[in-house]
Amino acid sequence: MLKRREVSIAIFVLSLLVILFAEYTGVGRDVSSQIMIAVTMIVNFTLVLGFYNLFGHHIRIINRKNMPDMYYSVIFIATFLIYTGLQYFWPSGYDWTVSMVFTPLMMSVTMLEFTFLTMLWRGARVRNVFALIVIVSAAIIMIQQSILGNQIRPLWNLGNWILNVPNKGVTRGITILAGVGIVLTLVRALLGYERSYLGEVR
Amino acid sequence: MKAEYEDSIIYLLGIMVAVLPLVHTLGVAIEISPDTTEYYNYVDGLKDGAIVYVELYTGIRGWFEQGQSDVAVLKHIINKIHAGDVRGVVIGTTSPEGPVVLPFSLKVMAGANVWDELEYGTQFVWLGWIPGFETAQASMAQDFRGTVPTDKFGTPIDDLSLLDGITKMGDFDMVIVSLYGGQDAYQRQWTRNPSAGRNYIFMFDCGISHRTAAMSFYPEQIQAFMTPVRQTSEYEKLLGYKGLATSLTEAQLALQFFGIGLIIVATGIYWYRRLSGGEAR
Repeated sequence: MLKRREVSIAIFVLSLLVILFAEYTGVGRDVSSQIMIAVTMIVNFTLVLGFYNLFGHHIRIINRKNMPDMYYSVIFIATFLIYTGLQYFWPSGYDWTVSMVFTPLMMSVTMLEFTFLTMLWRGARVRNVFALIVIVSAAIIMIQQSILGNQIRPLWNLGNWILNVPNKGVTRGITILAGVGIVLTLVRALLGYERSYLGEVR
Repeated sequence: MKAEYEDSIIYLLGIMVAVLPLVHTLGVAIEISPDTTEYYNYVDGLKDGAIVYVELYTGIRGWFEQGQSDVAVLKHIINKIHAGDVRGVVIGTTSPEGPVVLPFSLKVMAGANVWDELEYGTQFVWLGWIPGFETAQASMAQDFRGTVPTDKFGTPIDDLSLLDGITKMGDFDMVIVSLYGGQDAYQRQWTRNPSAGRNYIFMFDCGISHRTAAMSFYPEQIQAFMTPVRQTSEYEKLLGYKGLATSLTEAQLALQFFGIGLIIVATGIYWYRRLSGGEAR
């Protein structure tokens, strides 16, 4: 008798094998395509699941009457309901909220990029030769990517060399390692060892 | 100076440095670099009723920078539509923030009075948010109509003549991805995925760090890049208008020099304290 966990793993592995097989052989493309469309639709339902979990979490906080977390949870739930309700029942009010509340708030978050200045002041100190190499390279790229960059030809060429040789080399190494990690995780998932996608923590 | 005041003073100086070019221009001319010319030429070379797909993965936070690339490129495409070289533009987004960003760009473009002249369905289609991110991209690559059966307004795409004959991503003549952040899913699904049946020019609007990462693996598969501010200001110059990117160029330059100055001063203080036997932090 199959348990619920084995059924989930079987659905995952079977779908994965169909997609991989279709990708490499070209056979069964229609089935593969249907699976991916189904996943795209399931994503919408995962939003409902997220809604359920999020509300459950905040309702628990409200029930415990934790101060001041309780207030944040009440504000969250009220905002969520108002925002969702506006979209369905009063679209012009929703547009106003997006334009006059959400957007200015999100753009204000951009001001957090001032922390870059803090980072330069506190963190970017030339303490040794390696730090010197990194900071000089960063400074060259900063100037190269400004409007002054392409007007100073040696700086432009040096910046391109930094981007295309050492930077690209390191990025390539990191990405290859990440890719190998993904393949290994996939193999573990195919063999049933990796079950974090089922919510299991090992 | 007390450490808690340092940040405030630095931020204040940063604001003053950024505002300075607005009071007194630095007078640095915008010269067109080869990478911008390359990008411009690809868009300008569209002809024979080409259809362009534009993916907006621009967050509202990045609109001041990245959004200007969207505005510049869309303006160029719309000019090409009016000239009869491009049949139309299809805009979609796999980011939930995309539908919030597009109206901003449209407002800026409406000022130039180009957008309203397009006929919806035959010259322009807005697909809205397509949920599922990379799975949706993979699915669009091989079955566009199945993945996106309707546009943003619920109209079946079968009723939109611009999308006649579009069955997979490969049926577009050009795909432009405007990206705020470091997602490489687009390259995987729309440049390498054989299911896409790719026959299009693939262009990228993104920051310089992402450009470097993307070029590591897709040097021959991505035709051209455009970075915000510098390249976008050059693009605005090529199109013959001064947009927000042009306005930001000198502020960006001044802040970059300010940042380098901070590093030099901080390093000087660090080494002075260290060599004089004091506390170096």
